[in-house]
Amino acid sequence: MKEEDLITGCIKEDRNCQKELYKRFAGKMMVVCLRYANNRMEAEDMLQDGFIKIFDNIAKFKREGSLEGWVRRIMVNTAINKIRSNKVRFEGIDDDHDDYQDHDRNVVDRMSEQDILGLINKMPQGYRYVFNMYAIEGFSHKEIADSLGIEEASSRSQYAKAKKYLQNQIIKLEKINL
Amino acid sequence: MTHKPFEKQIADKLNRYEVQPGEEMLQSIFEKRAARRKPFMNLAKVFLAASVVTVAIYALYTNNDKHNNTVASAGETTVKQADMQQDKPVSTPQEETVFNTGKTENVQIPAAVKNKADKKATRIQRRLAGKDHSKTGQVRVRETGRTDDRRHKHPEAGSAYADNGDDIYNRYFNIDASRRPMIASSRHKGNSHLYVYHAVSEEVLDANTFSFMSLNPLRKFKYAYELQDYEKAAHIDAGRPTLSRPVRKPLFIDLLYTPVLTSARAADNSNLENYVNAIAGNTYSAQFGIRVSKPVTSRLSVFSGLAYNDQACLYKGIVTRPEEVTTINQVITYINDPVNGSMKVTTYDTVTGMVDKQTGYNYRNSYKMFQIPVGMSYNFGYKKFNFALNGSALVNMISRSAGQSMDLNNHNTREFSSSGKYVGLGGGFSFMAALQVSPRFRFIFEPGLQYFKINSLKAGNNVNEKVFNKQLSIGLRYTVF
Repeated sequence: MKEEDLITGCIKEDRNCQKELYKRFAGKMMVVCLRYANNRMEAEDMLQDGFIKIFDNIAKFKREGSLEGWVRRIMVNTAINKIRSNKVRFEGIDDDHDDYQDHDRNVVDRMSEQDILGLINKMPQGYRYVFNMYAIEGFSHKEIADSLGIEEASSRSQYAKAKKYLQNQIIKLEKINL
Repeated sequence: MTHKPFEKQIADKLNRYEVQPGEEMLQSIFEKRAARRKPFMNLAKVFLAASVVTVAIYALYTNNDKHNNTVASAGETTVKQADMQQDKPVSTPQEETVFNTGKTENVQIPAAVKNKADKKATRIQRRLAGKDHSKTGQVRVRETGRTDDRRHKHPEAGSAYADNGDDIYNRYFNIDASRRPMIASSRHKGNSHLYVYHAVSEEVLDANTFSFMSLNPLRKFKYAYELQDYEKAAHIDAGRPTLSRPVRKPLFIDLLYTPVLTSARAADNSNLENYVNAIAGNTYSAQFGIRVSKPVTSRLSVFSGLAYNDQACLYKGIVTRPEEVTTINQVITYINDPVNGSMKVTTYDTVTGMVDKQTGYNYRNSYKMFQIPVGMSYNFGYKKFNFALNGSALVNMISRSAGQSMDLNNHNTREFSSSGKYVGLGGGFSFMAALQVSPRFRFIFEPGLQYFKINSLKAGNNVNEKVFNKQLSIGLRYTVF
C-alpha cells in the first residue's frame, strides 16, 4: 500500500490502514521506546500511547517529510513526556579508564543490535536520556535541557560521561567475548 | 580508512533494529481509543436522558400536586388512618377515645397505594418529630397552610365561612360536602403553625370511595402569631400575597428548527488563510434541536439543550497568486567576421520574474455536529407575547467531517473525509419572540447569531475554520407548570 493511501485511510479511521501503519512501524518504534524505558512493560505503555497519538493526529501530518520521521518524532516526544513525569536522577559514575580511542573502532559493528540496546538500557537514567536524545535523536543540548528541565551545561557533561561510560562498557563486553 | 563517529555507529545499529511488541498491543490500542471516545459520545446521551427524566419527574410532580388539591383531604385523612393502625402500640388511650375511629381494620386499602401512602406519611411524621402535639390529644391529619388557593373553595362557600368554623376547613379541603370523609375535627394553634385535625367516619372508610394521594408537606402559616384568633384566617383573602403560598416556576421545553445562513472563513494564521478567505462565500445550513429553560428569577432564566447541526461552509471564487516564472530570452545578433563573413550569434538570457496566476475554486465542506448550548436569558413580556434575550456558550461535538482543501501548489483541491470526533467551542446570541396560543403552547420566532471554531485540521483539512451563522429559528414552546 502506498504511503499516501495509508495516511488517507488512517485519517478515515480505516482499521486495515491503521493495522498496516502499525505493522510498518511498531518494531522500530518499540526499539525507540525500549531505549527510554526502564523495562519492557514501560516501553509497551509508551508505544501504546504513542500510537494512539499517531492515529489521533495523523490528519495533521503535512506530508512534507517522511512518515517514518513524523512517527518517530511523536514516539520520542511521547517517551520524553513520560520520563519527564518521573524524577530523573543525573549523576556521575566513576568508571575504569579504558581508552576507547586505542581500541579497534569496528568493535561496534561487530556487536549485535541487541547487545548495544542492552548496554544502553543498563546506563544510568540521566546518561541514557541525554545520550539517546543527543546521539540518536539528534536534539541539541539546548533542546535536551529544555525538555528535561536541566541546565544546558549539565546536558553536555552528562552526554560526555554517558559516551565514555558506553564506550567502556563496550570494551568490557568485547573483552569478555574474547 | 575513515571511521564513522561512535554516535553514528550506535545510531545506525539501533535504527536498523526492530523488536516486535506483544501481539495484543494493536488490539489494546484500538480498545483504548474506543474507550476514550465513549465518554464524549455518552455526554450527549447522558444529557438527553437527564433532560427526559427531569421533565418526566417535573410533570409527574406537577400532576400529583394538582390531584392533591382536589382530593387531598380524603386521601390524607385515610392515609392517617392507616398510620393510626400502624402506630397503635404508641398511641394513647385518649386518642382512641376522642376520635372514635378504632375500626380501621375494615378499610380496604389497595396494597400498592397503601405502601406509597404509608411511606409518604412516615416521611412527614419523621419531619414533624420533635414538635409537641400532646396538647391536642388527637392525631393530626392536616395542616392548614394552603388557605390561599381559590380552587379549593367549597361550592357553597360564601361569607358564612367567617361564622362557621367547619366552613373554614371547607376552604382548606376542597371536596364536596356529601363526599367529605370527615365527621370530627379540632384545631390547635401551635407555636408557629395552625393545625387542623380530622377524623374519618367508618361509613366513608367502608365505602372506600376516595383515592389515596400523597401528602403535601406542612407549611407555615405566616400569621399565626399576629392573629388573636386563628379562625380569622378565613377572612384573609385567598389572593393576598401575604400568605405563604408555594410559587412553582414553570419549565419551558422548546422544539426548534433553524435555517442558517453561514459565512465561513479560515481560522489559521498562515499564508493559506488569505487565499482561502479570498473565496469564502455564504451558504445555507440547517439545525434542529430541543431546548429546556427554567426561570431562576422573574426576569432571568437558564437554559440548555441539544441541537443537531448539519453545517456547510462554502468556498467559491478565483484565487490570484503571484508565482515565480523563469523565461529564457533568445537574442540573435550577427557579426561581420573578416574571414568568414557574416556570422549569426545566438545568446540565451534567463529571466526570472513574478506573474499572477489565477485558479478557480468551488468547494463545500460539511460538518455534522451536535451542539450543546448553555446560557442565560433575560425575559420580558407584553400581553400574549414573551420576549427573551439569550446568550449562550456552545460546545460543538463534531462527529463527521468531509470536504476539500485548497492545494495552492497544484492549483486544485484535495479531498478530506473523517469520522473522527472532536470538540469545538463557540458562543451564540439570539432574540426570542413567543406568541402564546394556548396556556401551554407558544409559537417561537427567534433570530440569532452564532460564532464558533471548527478544528478541521483534525479531520484532514489544511486549515481550521471559523463559522459565523446567521439564524432564524422557528419552533414551539411547551410549558410544564
